[in-house]
Amino acid sequence: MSRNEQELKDALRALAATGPQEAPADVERVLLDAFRRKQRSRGRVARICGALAGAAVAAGLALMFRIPPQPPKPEARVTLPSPPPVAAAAPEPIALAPKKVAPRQVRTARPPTPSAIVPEVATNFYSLPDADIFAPVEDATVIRVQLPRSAMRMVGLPVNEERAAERIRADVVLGQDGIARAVRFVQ
Amino acid sequence: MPESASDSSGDLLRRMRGGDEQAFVALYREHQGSVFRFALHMSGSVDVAEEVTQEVFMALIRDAKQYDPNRGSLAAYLVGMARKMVFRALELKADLPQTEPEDDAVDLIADNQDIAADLAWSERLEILRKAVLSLPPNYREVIVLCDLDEMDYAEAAGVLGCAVGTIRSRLHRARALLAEKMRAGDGRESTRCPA
Repeated sequence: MSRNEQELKDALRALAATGPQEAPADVERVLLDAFRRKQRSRGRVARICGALAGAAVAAGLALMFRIPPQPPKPEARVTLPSPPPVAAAAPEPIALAPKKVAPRQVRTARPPTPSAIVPEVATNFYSLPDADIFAPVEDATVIRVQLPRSAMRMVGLPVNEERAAERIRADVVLGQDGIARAVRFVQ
Repeated sequence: MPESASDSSGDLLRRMRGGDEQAFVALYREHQGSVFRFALHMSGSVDVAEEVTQEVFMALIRDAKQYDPNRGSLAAYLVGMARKMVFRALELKADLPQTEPEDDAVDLIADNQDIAADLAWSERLEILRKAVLSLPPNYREVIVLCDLDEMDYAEAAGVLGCAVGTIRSRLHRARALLAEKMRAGDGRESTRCPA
């Protein structure tokens, strides 16, 4: 190595030693905050996933043992069977209009009259808290589950305290990693 | 990177994925310096360096599984991420209307030829810093990685995704360019340290 090259290297080394060498402490604080939020969110997601898994197992058992439908009540409500998980594109962000879904045929003593068919009304899809911490959804799966009405609070929807323990149907969007990202509620 | 450091990073990463906050802090403290310095020397801006450092580790928090240990060390992976973010930040900066003319190290050096001989060492380092920033990006990054951050050729090749031979030849050319700029700048043959 020539003298000039050596001197240039020395100068570069000296340059490397000047100026700040580390990121300010603020950066560590911000990152630590984000890390904690993600851990908290993972805990919540694990609980939701547990509930979803339970719902899926229950649905599977119901199908396996072909539980006969309840006899129609006087108001003749129709129960829609839970659809199997289906692959779908990322959810439409806004779907204000009530979504009407033609019910599947149910086994009843008498076929339901048109007046007995209750159309489904769905809310928009709401992002679950801290869902943005996870990788963007590239391959979403939507599954239909039942949740306690109190779960609506999770996305900031009002809940009637008297009905908080009742169940409500929900479509949950799962990312490719199996982590829930969004939910909508269906009536 | 020494094997022990790599092993320690791998272990910390595993614990971090499991939610261990202390492991994340240790991992951050182990690698933030090299990420920050790389971004600083590449961009010449403390703000960009801070932002890039934050984004690199945020990405690690979001999805640590993206890192594949078979493709290189964690340090190389993090600096590689920083490299992409620095280029993106510099592109964005270039798109913004400039309120004042950009510093041009070569012009600065040429304009100051007569007084360069009297510059204090700190001023000479400032000229060198600007000369580094004025290098084309592919030469600048090898100078930053190998000479400023003292990364070995193999690891630098891992960061840049090229062959070790490419690193050698780029480094040779980059040093020659720098020496030329410095010679032109101070009218002397070399960048001599003060006695």
